[in-house]
Amino acid sequence: MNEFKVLTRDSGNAVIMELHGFLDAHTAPDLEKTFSELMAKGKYNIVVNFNSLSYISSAGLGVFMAYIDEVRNNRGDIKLAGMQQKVFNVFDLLGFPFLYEIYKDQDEALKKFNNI
Amino acid sequence: MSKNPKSTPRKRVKGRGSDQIVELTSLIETAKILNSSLDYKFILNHIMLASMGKLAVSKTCAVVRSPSAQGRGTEEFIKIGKGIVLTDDIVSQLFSLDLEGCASPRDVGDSLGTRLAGAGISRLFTIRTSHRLFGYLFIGKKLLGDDFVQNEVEFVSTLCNIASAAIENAFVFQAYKDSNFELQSRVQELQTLFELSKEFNLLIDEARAIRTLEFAVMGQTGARKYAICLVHDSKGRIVVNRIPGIEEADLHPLCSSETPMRLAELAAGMPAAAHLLEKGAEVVVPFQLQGKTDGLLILGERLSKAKYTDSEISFISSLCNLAAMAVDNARLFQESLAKQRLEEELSLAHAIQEKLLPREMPNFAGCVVGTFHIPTKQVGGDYFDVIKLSEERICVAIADVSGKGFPAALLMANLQSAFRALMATDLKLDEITERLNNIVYDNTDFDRFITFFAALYDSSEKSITYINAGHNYPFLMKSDGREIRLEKGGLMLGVLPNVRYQTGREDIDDGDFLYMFTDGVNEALNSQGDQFTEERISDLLKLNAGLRADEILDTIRREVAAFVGDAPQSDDITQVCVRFQ
Repeated sequence: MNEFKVLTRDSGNAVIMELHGFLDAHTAPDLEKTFSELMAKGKYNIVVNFNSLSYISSAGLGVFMAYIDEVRNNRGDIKLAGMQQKVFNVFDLLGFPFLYEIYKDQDEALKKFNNI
Repeated sequence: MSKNPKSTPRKRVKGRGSDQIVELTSLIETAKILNSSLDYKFILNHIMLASMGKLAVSKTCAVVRSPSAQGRGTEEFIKIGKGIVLTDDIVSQLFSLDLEGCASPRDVGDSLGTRLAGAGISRLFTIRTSHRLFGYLFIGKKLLGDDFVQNEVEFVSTLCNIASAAIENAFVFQAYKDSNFELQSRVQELQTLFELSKEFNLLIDEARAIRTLEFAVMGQTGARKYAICLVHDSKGRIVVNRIPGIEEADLHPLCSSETPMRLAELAAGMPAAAHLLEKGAEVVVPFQLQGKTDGLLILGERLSKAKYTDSEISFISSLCNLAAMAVDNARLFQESLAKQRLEEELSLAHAIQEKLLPREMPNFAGCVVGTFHIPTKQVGGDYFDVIKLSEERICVAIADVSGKGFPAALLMANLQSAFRALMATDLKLDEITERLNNIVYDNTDFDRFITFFAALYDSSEKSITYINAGHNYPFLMKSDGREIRLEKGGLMLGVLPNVRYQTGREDIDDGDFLYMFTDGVNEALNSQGDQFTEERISDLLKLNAGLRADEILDTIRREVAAFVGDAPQSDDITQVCVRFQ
């Protein structure tokens, strides 16, 4: 099984969250942990880099839903970037492109935060 | 008017002027563009712009029935307006008319015609094939106010005909896209169910199972307001609440519901549903396990604000039923875990207790001591001890704490430490016993007591002194065959404070032996419920008087085992034997 990993690093006024591997019901708690750590530190400008994520399931998407209110209530956002087609299809299927900003690559998403 | 302008005969074109050639070329061009597009909005937009250019009008509007909505069995209109706004009501009436070709507002009846004219419409063109009406193109007034000429009307009609073929294609393509999307959605739902059933099987933790359900529901539906309530004995316990204001009491009336409910549909006849609806709940989905409701998922607003569809609700219901199984498994696991933990603690306590009992007999010239102890599985209250006080003096003791289990074991440990500490002092045996009694009395309730026997053997004096505090009388078997029961002493420990004890004394000859036991020996039960009895012990001691201490103990153990047979051991069995040399 392809393991799941999250790496985070600061970039300007935002945090880049880099996802690797499989994000499903089993690995969702790992991502949840990373999000709750960012919330605790008051970091609400988040760019999620999907370049190395090979699979996402509905439960994986659920984690983004779990934090979007808290993030937006704190004038931040979760911007998604660099999805492989297969991963994007799942987001598309579940109607997420209407709810989240999705960018081709990480830098484009970062610019949106840095312009603020 | 021709349905297929591409095949318009060439000679007709030759018969007209160069304007017509330009016009025809532009139509062919348009046909090419429209037929190569599968986007009906683009197609509509194109014919609107082309008409505006050709007819010099500034306001148009195009309306089609949404093919996606028709696929779902509902009616929805897609309106693209440039300066003209139409209500759904007007559009809906027009679609029921089944018009053909071009019409002006006065052709559609007075009331509707007035409304169309009021919206600034001077002509409407149908976009249709012979068997299907797709929509309408509405044209406003000419900029200069003059009426349309025949040529212009024909141009727009032709345009609409070309567009109808393109739109039919686009609709077929849209239907294909819709059904493909629908199919993929179903596949995604199935994948989610499959993944969750796998994950739920691995989970043994209620909180984690609930969190997994939350993620799946949020991911699958985009719900941002929801609550989860677990139901036990028709009472709800809210475990997750993201709908502000919802309380357990609000949910109690729904705790026995078996099928998903849309609160808006129930609100009129059910105050509880109306109440929840007010607080922002929309749908309640019960968790069903073996025909019983184990929980409720209350869904509120989604991030997209869209209503939950029937198919989504039935999917969420399956998800909830899986979760019910996981929550139940977690509960069973916790129960067995608690049981296992208790058993582990018990066996740990048992091991500690065993260590409190002497394992190696002190080397002592004047006698040989044998001990034997079979505990029941639980920790128990039997105690025995062998303490070497000096080269000449040894102390043996045996005791039985009332009751079983942890309380008895704790009291036994308390007795052991007190007794050992007191034996290290210069106090006499009766003084020691008096103090032990007070300690036990102070440390216990009135219904707890200890039967206790201790004997001191002095090899230089060839005698034992002893105290029996309510314990089964030990046997002193004399070498001449006499049997002496050691019964002097007093009350059991822990019953009354400040009890005085009498010290017994017996001379010891070489070849005598002392046999001490707990009631696990004489009261051992066979399957008929008969006791082993002290008479049997006495007979066996007499019969085996010539054996070594350990052989005597072993003989009695075997006899007891044979007597008991398959009946379970009901109490600890403890024996101590001292053979004097």
